[in-house]
Amino acid sequence: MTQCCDEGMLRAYIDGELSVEEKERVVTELASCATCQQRYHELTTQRDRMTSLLSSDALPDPELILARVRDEQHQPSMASLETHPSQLIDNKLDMHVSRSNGMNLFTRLGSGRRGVFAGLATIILVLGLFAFPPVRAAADQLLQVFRVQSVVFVPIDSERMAELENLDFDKEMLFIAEPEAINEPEEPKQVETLAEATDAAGFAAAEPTDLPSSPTETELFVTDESSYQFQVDVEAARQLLTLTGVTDIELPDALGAEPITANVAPAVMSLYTSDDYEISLAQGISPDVSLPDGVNLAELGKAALRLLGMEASQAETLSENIDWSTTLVFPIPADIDQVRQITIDGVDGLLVGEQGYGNWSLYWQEGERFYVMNFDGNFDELDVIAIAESVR
Amino acid sequence: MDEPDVELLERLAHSDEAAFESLFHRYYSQVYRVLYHLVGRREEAEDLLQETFLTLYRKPPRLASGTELIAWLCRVALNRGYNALRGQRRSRERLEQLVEPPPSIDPDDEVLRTEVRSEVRAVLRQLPERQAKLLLLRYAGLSYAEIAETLHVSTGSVGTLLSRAERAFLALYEQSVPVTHTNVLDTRTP
Repeated sequence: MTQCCDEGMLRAYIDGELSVEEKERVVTELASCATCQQRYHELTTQRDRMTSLLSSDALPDPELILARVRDEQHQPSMASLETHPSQLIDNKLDMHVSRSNGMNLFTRLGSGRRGVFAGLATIILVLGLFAFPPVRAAADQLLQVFRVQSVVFVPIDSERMAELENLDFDKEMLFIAEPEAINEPEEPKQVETLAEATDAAGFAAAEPTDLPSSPTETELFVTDESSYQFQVDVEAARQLLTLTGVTDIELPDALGAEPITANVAPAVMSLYTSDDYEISLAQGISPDVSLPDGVNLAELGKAALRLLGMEASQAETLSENIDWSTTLVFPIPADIDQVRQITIDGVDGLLVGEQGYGNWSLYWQEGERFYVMNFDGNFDELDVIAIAESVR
Repeated sequence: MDEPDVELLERLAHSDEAAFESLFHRYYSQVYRVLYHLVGRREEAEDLLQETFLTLYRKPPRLASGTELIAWLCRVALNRGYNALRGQRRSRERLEQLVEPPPSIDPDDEVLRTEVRSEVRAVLRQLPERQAKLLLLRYAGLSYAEIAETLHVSTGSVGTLLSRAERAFLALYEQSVPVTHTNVLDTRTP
């Protein structure tokens, strides 16, 4: 006596999904076994029932859908963007911001493994949207360097951006000098496990626990610590404020009395690759910055907000409510769809990307820890948020 | 003999519209069926179909040998479909006001189909996601090998997984649907 067919085999037989030999086996078995016949009958009924319930109504007109796809593809705004918007930002950044302080950490990586850490560069350098010296100097160099524990997003309108962009701003006037490395970092070191990364970085490295599928390759790097110092030219900063119509802010001489130092802690970069996606995660501790004595952070913050185009009273209120020693101010363009604020596990984050592309960059901050993720694959906004929320 | 997917994809990578159209005609009906049963609304299924093929247009995948484009398309479609559903759940308050409007002129038969459809959708959502996907793919006409590739399971296991998913589906469906509907429906079965 032969052995009864298993259910899967019978089911596959009904669908004509068996090889010739398998099929012969089932036919033989069905001819002689009442149990198999009974099962076969049940499975056929089950299949027919499902077919009736899941039968399809009419299909859409294919030409209509094709036309819609073509329209979408050829929209003028899209047509000019052969690449994802974040890549445009990258490009701008490469030109304008790559040498800014503290960014070295990221751009250096980015240039070595272009694309891998591009997302990191993108988002850390989202300020590159305002890739012109005044705002960069104010927002990026002046504020980002504080020990960040929270993030505030300041919308900036396109008019103000244009105004700042058109400013005939002499490079000489940059009020923060090129940062000087006082402790050059070593090349990033590749490690094998998360535990090794944790040991090397000095903080508990996290990883996304809910990737769409198991990555075929996971790579981990730890960057070296480094420190920089830079000098503020107070006179130039005052001129800049005047030039941009900000006359209600007093900058103290103390700001330029001695250099500002920024200590950049080691960071962990991880890269997850699969057939249909590439996701990178960078995590680290915000740089530790020491300012000259006698510098009032709230005043500096207010100056930056005014420079970004905020009304005096609004800037006053906001700057009083922000703990400037721990808060990073991110200027975001108010009228650009690709950049928006979202929430990751209850904390504010910034998402750069657009639905149709599947590529996204995401920045968020939990206490002193910052996280930057870049997504390349068929992701939409909710995928991206879900994956980011699984980082632990 | 039709031009193989790999060659069409190669042409599509060089922005060949004709290649895109060939691929679209080849696969749109299966992808649409998957989406339609998942989201249950024509317009939404059409939007998601459009998005899925737009993704193909913009980022044609490089297929490894022995892999099927339909599996890739269905993965994209299922991701988008489920995300759309999750999005709806997140904004449930808004959704509650957006109850699917009944078709304006509708023969009794059509009303019944609409009810069955929404019940089918509700039951699919109660099933574990993988079982629901398996049913959606199979009843959209994918082969066992294509299903296996889409869901990252072995081809040999599809029969077993499928029969289990069907049993689970029908058990939930019988619980939730008045007998009259199912009876009427049975008479419609060929």
